[in-house]
Amino acid sequence: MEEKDLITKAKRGDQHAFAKLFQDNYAFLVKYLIKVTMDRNLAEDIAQEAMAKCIEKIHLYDGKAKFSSWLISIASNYYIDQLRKNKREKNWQQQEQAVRHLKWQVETRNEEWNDTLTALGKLSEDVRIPIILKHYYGYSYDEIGEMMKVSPGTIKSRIHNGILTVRKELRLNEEPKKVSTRS
Amino acid sequence: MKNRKKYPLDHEAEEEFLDLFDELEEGFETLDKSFQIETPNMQFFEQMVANKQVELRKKLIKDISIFSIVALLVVSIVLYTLYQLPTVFYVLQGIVTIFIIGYTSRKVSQRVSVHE
Repeated sequence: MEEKDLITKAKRGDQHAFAKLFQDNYAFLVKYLIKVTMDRNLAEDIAQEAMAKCIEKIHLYDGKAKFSSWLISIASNYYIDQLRKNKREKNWQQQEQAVRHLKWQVETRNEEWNDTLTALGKLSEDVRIPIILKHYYGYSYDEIGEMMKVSPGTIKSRIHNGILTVRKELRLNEEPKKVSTRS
Repeated sequence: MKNRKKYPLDHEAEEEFLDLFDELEEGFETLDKSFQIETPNMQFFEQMVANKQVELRKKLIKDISIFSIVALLVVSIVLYTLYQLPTVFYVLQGIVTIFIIGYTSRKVSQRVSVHE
């Protein structure tokens, strides 16, 4: 069954159609949320909450964007709202710990950790999410702006400033290494 | 430069960040490769949808009940004052009208000052 038919049925409250839509998009959503939250368990929790929100808001889905795009937009906004409610964005220590744990998980699977991810983990969610959406998923500034309910100009400047911060962070990390190799 | 053809740069100025974009992309790919996501079966999702639909129905009934009670209360008070205490009714009408005019004009002047 095509996605359009499933959405039409889901709008009528069909449980099977909803379940099929969620099952088809679950892995994609969790993988996206791992990049956003830098925490696998949190990513799975947010994914389930986002799907619950999706059931509530399905009547608002106009079918212009793909269902997966709509889903990640709901998940991103839900995550940002939760952080604001819990004021977790101020807890840098907790975020750093999550990134370190993710690094450990990646390295135990014999994959090489990339320092840009550590630098990205230090950015606020408002900046990290547009960077991920733009530079990995290929969304345009307009689309990201629509997803995050801010203007495309704001998204563009957030991404630019975020990229500059990541580059600065990487250079700062490189400096001590150079010094240590000289001595 | 894996996806660069797929997702072209928006501006030439971004070219100075090309290496960084590639590194970011590699990092994200590593994350994708590192985590195998086990998708739950259909039954799990169907149960989740069913539970949420029940919760939403309960919330709707609760909201409608509260709305109806409040509406009934307001109408009762208005009718009571109209027939039993007409002076109070007209004073209340006057206060509400003045409040609405004051509130609207304040909002409009705020909007005008923002645009200026």
